[in-house]
Amino acid sequence: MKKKTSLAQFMPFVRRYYVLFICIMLCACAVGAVDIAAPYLIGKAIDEMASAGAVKFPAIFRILWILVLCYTGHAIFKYLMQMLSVRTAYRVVEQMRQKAFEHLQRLPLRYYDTTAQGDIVSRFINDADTMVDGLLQGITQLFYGIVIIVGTLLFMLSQSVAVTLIVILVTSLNFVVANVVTRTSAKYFAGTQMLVGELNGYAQEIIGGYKTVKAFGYEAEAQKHFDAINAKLYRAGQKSQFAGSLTNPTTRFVNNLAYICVGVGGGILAGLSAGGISSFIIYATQFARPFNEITGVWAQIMAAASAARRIFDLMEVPPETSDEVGRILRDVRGNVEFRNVDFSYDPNRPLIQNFNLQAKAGQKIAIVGPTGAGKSTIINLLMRYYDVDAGAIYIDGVDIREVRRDALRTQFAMVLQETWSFDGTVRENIAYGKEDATEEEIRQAAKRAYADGFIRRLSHGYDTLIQESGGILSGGQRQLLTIARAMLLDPPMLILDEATSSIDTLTEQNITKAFNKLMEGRTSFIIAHRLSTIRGADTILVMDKGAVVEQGSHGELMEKQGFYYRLYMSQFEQE
Amino acid sequence: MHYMKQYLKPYWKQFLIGPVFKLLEAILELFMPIMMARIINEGVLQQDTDFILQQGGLMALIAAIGMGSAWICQYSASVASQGFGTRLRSDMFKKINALSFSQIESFGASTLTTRLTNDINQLQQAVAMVIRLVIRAPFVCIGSAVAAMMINARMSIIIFLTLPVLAGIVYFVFRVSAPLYTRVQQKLDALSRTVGENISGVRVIRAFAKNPHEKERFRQRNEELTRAAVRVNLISALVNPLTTFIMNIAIVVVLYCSGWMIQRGQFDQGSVLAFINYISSMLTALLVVANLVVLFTKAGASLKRVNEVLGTELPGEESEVKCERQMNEPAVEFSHVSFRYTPEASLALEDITFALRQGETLGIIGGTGSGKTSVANLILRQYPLTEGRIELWGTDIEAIPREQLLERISTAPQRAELFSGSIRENLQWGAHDAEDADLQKALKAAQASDFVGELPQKLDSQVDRGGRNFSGGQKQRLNIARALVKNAPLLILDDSFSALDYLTEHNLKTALKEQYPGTTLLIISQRVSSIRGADQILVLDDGKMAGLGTHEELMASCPVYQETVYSQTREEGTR
Repeated sequence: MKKKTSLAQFMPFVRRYYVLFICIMLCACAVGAVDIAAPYLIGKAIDEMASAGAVKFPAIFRILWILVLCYTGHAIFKYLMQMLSVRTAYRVVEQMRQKAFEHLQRLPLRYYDTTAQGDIVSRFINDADTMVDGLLQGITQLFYGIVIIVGTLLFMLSQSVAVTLIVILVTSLNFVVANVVTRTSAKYFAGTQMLVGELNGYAQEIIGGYKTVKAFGYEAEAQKHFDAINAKLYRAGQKSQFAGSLTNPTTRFVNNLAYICVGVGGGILAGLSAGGISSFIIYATQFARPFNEITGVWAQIMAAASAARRIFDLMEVPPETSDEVGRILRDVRGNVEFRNVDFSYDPNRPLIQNFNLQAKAGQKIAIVGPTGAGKSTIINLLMRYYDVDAGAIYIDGVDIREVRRDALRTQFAMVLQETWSFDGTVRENIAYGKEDATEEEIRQAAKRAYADGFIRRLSHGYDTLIQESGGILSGGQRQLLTIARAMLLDPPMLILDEATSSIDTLTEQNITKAFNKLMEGRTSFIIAHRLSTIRGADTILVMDKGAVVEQGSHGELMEKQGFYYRLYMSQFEQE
Repeated sequence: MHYMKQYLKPYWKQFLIGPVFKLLEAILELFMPIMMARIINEGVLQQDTDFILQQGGLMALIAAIGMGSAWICQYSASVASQGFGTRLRSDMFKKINALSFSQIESFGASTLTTRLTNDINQLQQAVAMVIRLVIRAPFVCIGSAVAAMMINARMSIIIFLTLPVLAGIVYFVFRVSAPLYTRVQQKLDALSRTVGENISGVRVIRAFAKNPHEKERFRQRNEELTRAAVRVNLISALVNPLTTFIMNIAIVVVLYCSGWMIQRGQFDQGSVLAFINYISSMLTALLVVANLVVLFTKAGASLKRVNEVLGTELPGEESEVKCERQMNEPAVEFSHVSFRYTPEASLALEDITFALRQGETLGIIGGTGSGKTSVANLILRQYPLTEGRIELWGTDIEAIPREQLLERISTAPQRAELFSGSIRENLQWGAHDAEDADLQKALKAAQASDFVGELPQKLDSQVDRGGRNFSGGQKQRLNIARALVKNAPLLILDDSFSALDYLTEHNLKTALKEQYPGTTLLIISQRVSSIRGADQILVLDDGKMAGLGTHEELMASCPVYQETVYSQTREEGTR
């Protein structure tokens, strides 16, 4: 069912360009008219020069002037047609990209967490590009082709029905040829594309993991594996390339046959004049050309269709529920409550069950536990990256599902385990949450996050450009930037997700001090391994396998001598 | 270009056969209009049916031979171009794997992958086009001109006058559009980065409620890309209407002159037709040449990028001398080692000296960017020393062949990277013949046997690309297990415990001592608890040695170490 709706989905993007489409069609008609009339005029002109002394110059002049006029119009309209097609194709795809991006922004985090990043990016880049190619070729070839086929057919019929039938018969062979070739090569092409993907993936993995590869001397082994894929790619690639390249010479042969048939048939059967045959020959070639060109770009159009399918697939992923009518939180004090919360990422594997927590305004809640215990999940629920399956979370007594997501999220400052910086200057990256921040505010935030020092040592200070990967910054430095970003905001609640794990302890100590100041009067949720943060917390949640196994203050938990006690004591054990 | 020679050379036969047969096809095709002219002049005008049929049959035969020749050429092209690409890819992959850390880092892993796949693909296409068209298109061009000249030398002057004009147009358009194509590519990169950022940073973006801002940013990039692409396409779109127009005008002039010449009895109708046919085939061929220019401009850019990689100088060849381990010498000895990553950079390590005896444990501690990982990288000889000397069991590492160096060292790198394949395959990276018992032993010691045992397929469970289906802590433990399976005399654990809780870390270290006795250990960490039991602790501060000794010695003498310890276990004393 999905396959069928492609065109229907595509129409809304094309519809607003219908005026342009009509213009393109008119241009195609004009160009086609000249392409059809010119050979006729040329034939007429040649007929006027029968033999020595019998050349009728006035008639020839008249025809030639008309020709010059026609050709000039031809050039202008042809360019106009190309221009409009280029604009239309690119604008349509630009719109689709924009729509797809806006849809992406509305998708739940679940989609992001379960789809490969490269695959999504590829839809915006490669697939959109393929669509442009297909559209561009499709628009021009289709409109022009139709005009030419209809026009030449009419003209040929007016000249000689018999020869026209021969031409149609021979030319239709092209369809057979194109069909056979496409069908055989499509199989190989699909295989080749798959192997290209496999090779690309393998190379990316090995090259990206160069540190491990070298540490284990795995190069020879990797080469063996790579060469195996490479060899398979050669066999598939050679076959598909050869099969694909057969169309052109074969259709050329068919067209030559048509050409010969016109000459022979026209001379014998229809008794056409020399000029008649010559213009007929030109029509026959012209009649065949659109078929050739359409079969030539057929592969591109098919590729564009499957590319469009991939973009539409993205747009069909159900978005988050709309929250336009949701409440907006004002003057939040920061009382947070989890009440009987159930949640799991995978319905078959229950994770959090009947989870309860009360955090009073200004309290520090530390969450500890072994890796994979579900600590980050608490954050996911609090920020509504995921919604609870059962139960509810309240902020100042309001169920957070009644609140607009943006309004909820801006009540938190968050520093995550994985740092994120975008393509822009250091200044822009710090001021990300507060675009109207003054220079002074930005510097103050950086200073309080102990980032000012290294920033000023960068080649352009606050104006240094950082790329997505943050290539020039170390992991610790990037983390300081994200902390500065959080420092600049002044929200009632704070989330730190192992935020300090790659910063050295001395710096962390300073940051902890700054955070402590920031946390005064703010409800804070901290996921950390370190003692200093854990010990000072009002409540410590000890999680294991998705469940809260212990809950209490440091003193209470130590007294209990349970899971937390063992976790805590293990760091002091001597070998 | 000279790098390409060795990859093209094996295909010299195809390079000979392909163009020769293509040429044959082109020559045969040139005969067609001449023969058609004879059909008209001698057959149609003189009503000689036999002659018409005979000539027509001959033409069909020629067309068939032409098609066969073209097939042979296409086959040669597919073998040569795919073979060329396959060999080039294999060698380039080998070359990339042989690059040093600093060389890979200066390129960047993602561009290396792109060059290996995309750029080589461009070159592959160019090779195919050379075989198919480079001879044919110019030949058809020149051949048509010559044939036209043979029909009527004086008339062909018109063609020769148009040629430079046409060449000028093609040259001008591509001169202008080539740099614009590069711009489009850059805009595409920018858009791709924006999408990537929005996926990797989705939590941050939503936390700061910046969706509208990102939408706007995307809209701008999208529009910039579209505008750049439309612009360059509008320029390239000029070629077709302009060249066609000029050729059409040439046809008008030819007709005009033909009238005069026929009037004087110097020309005939059939020849006019043939002449015009030649002009048309010239035009078609010329457009092919224009497309070739685009293709080669693109391929030229790719060639440069591929050559950059192939031309990178590798560290010199090494000796094949077998180096014995001298057990009475220190396993690792640094003497006054200084090191900088690039000549412009400041020293990453300065005057480091220590000796680690066989079977002992060395802990390295220090803040972010203090040079801890540099020590490990230098032992693996991934970067050249700036000053000083490193010895392993009494031999200078410069004198140890890489293979033997790797036999002695086993590493768990800082970033725990897993690769697609089964868990077993991943663990066997360092020892291809390791048996399940060895693997189980390593998993047990690395505290990973629990979660591996819970997987339905145990050791045969699939690891997704990049180990996405395992949590950070699980990856880290598998990373350690992989290093243990290799079972080399020196084991380097580079910040391998950062995602593990204290309890797991403690169990792991205890198991290591019991299960792998005699292994010389080098533990790099930011956590005091990870290294406090070591025989020696090296304290690094901004690349310099701040202290070296046991925990007790350093507590008495090293202020940096004391501060670190206090910051991490401030409350310990009061416990």
